[in-house]
Amino acid sequence: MKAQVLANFSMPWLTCIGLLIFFAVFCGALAWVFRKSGEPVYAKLSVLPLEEDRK
Amino acid sequence: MNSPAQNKTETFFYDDDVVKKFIVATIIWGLVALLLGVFIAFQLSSWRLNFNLPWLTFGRLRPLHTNAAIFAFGGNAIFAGIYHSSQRLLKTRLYSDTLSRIHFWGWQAIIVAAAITLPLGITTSKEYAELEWPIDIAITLVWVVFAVNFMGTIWRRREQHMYVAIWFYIATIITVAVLHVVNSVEIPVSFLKSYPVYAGVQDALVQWWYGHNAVAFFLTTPFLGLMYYYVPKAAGQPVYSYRLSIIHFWSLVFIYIWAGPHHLLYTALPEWAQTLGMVFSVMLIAPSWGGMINGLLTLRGAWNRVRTEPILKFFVAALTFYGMATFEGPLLSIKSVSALGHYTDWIVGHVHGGTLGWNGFLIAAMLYYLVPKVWKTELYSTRLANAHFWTGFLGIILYILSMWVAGITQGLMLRAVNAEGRLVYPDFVETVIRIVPLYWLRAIGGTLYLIGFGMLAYNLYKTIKRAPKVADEPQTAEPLKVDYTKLLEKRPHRILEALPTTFTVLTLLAVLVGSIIEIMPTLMAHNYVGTTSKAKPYKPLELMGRDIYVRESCYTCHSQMVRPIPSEVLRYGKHSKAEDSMYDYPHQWGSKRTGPDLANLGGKYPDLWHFRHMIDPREVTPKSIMPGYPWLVRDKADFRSLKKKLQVMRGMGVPYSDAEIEHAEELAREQAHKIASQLEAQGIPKGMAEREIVALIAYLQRLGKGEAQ
Repeated sequence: MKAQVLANFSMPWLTCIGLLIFFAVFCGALAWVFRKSGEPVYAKLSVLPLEEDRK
Repeated sequence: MNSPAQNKTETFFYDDDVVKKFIVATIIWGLVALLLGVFIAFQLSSWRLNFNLPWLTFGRLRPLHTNAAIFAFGGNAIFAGIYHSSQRLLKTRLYSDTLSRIHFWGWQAIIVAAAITLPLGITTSKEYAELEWPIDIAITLVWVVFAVNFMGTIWRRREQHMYVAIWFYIATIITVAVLHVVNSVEIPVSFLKSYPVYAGVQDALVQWWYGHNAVAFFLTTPFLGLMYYYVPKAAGQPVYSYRLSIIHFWSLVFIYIWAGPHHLLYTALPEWAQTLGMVFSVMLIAPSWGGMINGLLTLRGAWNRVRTEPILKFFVAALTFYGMATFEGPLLSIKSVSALGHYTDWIVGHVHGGTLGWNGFLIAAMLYYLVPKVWKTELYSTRLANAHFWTGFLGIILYILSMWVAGITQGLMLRAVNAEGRLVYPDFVETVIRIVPLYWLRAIGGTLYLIGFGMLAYNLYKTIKRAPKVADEPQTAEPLKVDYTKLLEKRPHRILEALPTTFTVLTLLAVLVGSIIEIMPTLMAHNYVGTTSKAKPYKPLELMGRDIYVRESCYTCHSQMVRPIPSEVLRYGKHSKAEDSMYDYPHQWGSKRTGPDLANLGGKYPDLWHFRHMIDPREVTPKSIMPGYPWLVRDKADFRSLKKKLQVMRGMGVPYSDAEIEHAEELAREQAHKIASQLEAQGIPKGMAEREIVALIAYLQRLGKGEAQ
């Protein structure tokens, strides 16, 4: 049954929607990460490994 | 952080004792794993080094080498690094000293169990998951101890935000747990023998979903976490781009999990799953190179120090090898490239570029940094560390160059077809003889790498020995008072980095999306196996022979999967279909052809040929590099466990009748006597019906003859 369904799969738009969702999420994440307001947080985070040595 | 005024500073100590233990274990197991690798490399150059001893034969030692390298050497190294860096990043002591101790000793006990069982032939034959079910359970338990200890440490942290390295560690812990549990579902037959619940194409898919992601989440994500911590430490400046590291993390974790089927291109795996695996494998180059660039650019302005500091040398080389291996991987995942490269030594070269170059050198860099740090002393000899670098580097170059040439040469020879449409090299052994000199070169490369690592062991031993006895330094930090409602009000977009639980769930989701979409249809649809031509189950004696085939790990050198490629069908006969292996618990498709494919072996040679071939392969195939298996003629076959084995098989859906199960032993003896009496008629000594060799011959003669009439 399932094999037949998969064999007769004729909804290419479904995979296109999947592709668009993934791509949109990726672009959204990219935009979110590179927002200007994130600057100070990332600056603080990136020096965490070095804190031990600076004491 | 703007901490409330009522917070008092707390004093605490780091637990560096367990870090030290894991460091020492890393060095010892590293030597063992590399020594095993060099030994089996020489075995491929000269078959005499198999010594006709079962527990020293290539098939039994190769899984031991891979397990020791990945789980003993790599495993101990990542535990050392994770426990050391997490305490500093989270500003707290490890959650529980007892759990740390159970984790350490439990893991060493598992390694010792592997080192005993694998040479004895106690194996599931699932690549990189060869350990039998009691050890699988032990691994699960120790991993849970590790997870609780780690998550507890996060819970008790004094630093609000989790640095990106911690993310990579969390992804490692949850994904390895999922992979191990799903791949190891097996039904025990006895205390040291089990059958997996998956068969044939399903087993292959689950196995390579596991196998590839063991590379991804045991040899990549934890090492990237270590890279993001130790490279900035060694360079003395923060990572090049923290933003890039976030993109790197999420895209890597999301994409990697889909890539497994690239190990199964042109096999009987459904076409759509192959394409999916290929596309995601090619995409994987983007996050991989993003990470490599991020690591290398962390050294911006510090490149002059790479000339003099061995630690930076190792880091730069490790990252470069990472970039190289993650370029080669997507390349090899393209179907037409895989057609040439798969089953050849090219893959072996690719793997070792990654493991020796990326993992091995990153571990070396970490150890050279970590040992003086935690023992509070100076490195014994910088010159020796530099010598290690160049010796090891030369070793890797010899290794991968020889394997590239060997793999591509053999691949081209195997596919060469002349104008009349016949194979140019019809004898497989012709192509092997051609590349044996390269096997010697590879073994020399491996030896150099081992010598380099020996220098590291000596250097660090001297460093530790002269370390002063000093008490642990107290650390101070303010306790964390997390007010999530306040955090949500003030900066809702930051909550992700502060909430370990949410983060863990999201990571798990990212990993599960790929796994479920890819694996579930194949697991659930038994219809993929053609209903028109059902396969026959194995006869009891054949099943017994199959277990011997599994015990000797024949899959390390022989595949059972003829791809639908013209030269391959010419050489091996009809291409393999899903139904051919529908009762194969576990599948034996294999991943490397040091010898020819065996999918259609049945009936190709007489029984006597197999008998002589197994005792001394060179008697029938001059110049063969296969080890001899004389003990198969000596050792008595185990007829008594057959009934139980058939029962377990029927439980999983193999159509054995009640009568077959009840009379399994008699049926097997009957078939064995038939084969043995024919052999006797040809001059073979009496009494072979009781021996293992007859069962193995029955199995080998059955290969490719499984279709029901």
